[in-house]
Amino acid sequence: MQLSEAQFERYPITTDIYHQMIEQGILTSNDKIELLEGDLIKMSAVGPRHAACVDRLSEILRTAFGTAITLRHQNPVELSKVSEPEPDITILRRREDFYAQAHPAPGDVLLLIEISESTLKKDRGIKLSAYAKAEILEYWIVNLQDDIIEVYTNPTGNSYQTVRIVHRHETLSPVLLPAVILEADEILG
Amino acid sequence: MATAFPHRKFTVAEYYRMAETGILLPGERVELIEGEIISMAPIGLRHAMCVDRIDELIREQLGRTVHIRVQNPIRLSNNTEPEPDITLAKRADYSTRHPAGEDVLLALEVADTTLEKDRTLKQKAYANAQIPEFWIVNLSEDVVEVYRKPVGDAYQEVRSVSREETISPMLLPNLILSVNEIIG
Repeated sequence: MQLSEAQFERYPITTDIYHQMIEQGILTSNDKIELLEGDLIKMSAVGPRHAACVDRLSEILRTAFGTAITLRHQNPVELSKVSEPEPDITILRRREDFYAQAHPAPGDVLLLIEISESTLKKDRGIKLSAYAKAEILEYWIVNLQDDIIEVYTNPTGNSYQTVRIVHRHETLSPVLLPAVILEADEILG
Repeated sequence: MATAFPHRKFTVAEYYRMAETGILLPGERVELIEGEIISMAPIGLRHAMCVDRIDELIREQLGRTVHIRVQNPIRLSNNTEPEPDITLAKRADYSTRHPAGEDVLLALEVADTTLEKDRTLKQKAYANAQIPEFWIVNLSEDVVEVYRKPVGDAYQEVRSVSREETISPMLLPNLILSVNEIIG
């Protein structure tokens, strides 16, 4: 039987509950999950191309920005009471303690990047809407399937008003870090 | 809060740990169905009254010959522990375990706002656990839906019983209930 899930309501998991589940050992490091909109969503396995792209991109960003930013890879960002995703790359305002006291909040985020090989539907769907709702100012999807970079800006409600598709041979700069110019070719590898 | 993406499901053991450690608060209205913690709808006046009335009707006729459980858990698998509105189970000592699928003679849900959930999620869970019979007292259409012959995820035999008719559970033929009395 196909269940249409709109017909019942899953108990919403808040970040409080999520953190308690981790503390109590109900969730462990074997659980590859992230909290999105009150659901503990399983993370897809990271393929070699995806992993390589994350590594390449972080090298590019590190070279471009040095220590002017704090860079996070596949680590939690606390977006709201019901969302704590782990974006592939998060560029944060520089903090000398590297956010040791608490996970970064939306106001700390300069740019979120997801590398998308098999997860395009999720990255354009529930992730995009969670990021827009948290008013993350800029969100990139490095779309390895179509060999493009999707740049989302101007969050309003649960989506972004502006979408720019960046092709190979083009360049792009984060809105909040305009001094640095990145090459799409380099990012896409 | 529903999404189509695969998400983490829970076992009954994890569900209990959440309750023991206060992650789920006492009185939290949830049930565990196929690994999902599902919020229960608030109980409306008509729904509550209907459950009380059915409980009374059954007790009048069956006395202590069956175990009658009202809005309490049954343990259907290691990831499913729903709380049907009324469960008729074989007489046994349930002080150390909740009734399991094979103990249940009839599971009954009263549906005012929860009809789709009862017809889909609950039907699937009860059929999977081989509960021989499942009734939905459908208050919005004034009928009792009778589901029998569980096979896989669903019941093979479904019929609607209207006002002026009577019904008896297959395994409790002595219990004769009039739909008028059930629906009130």
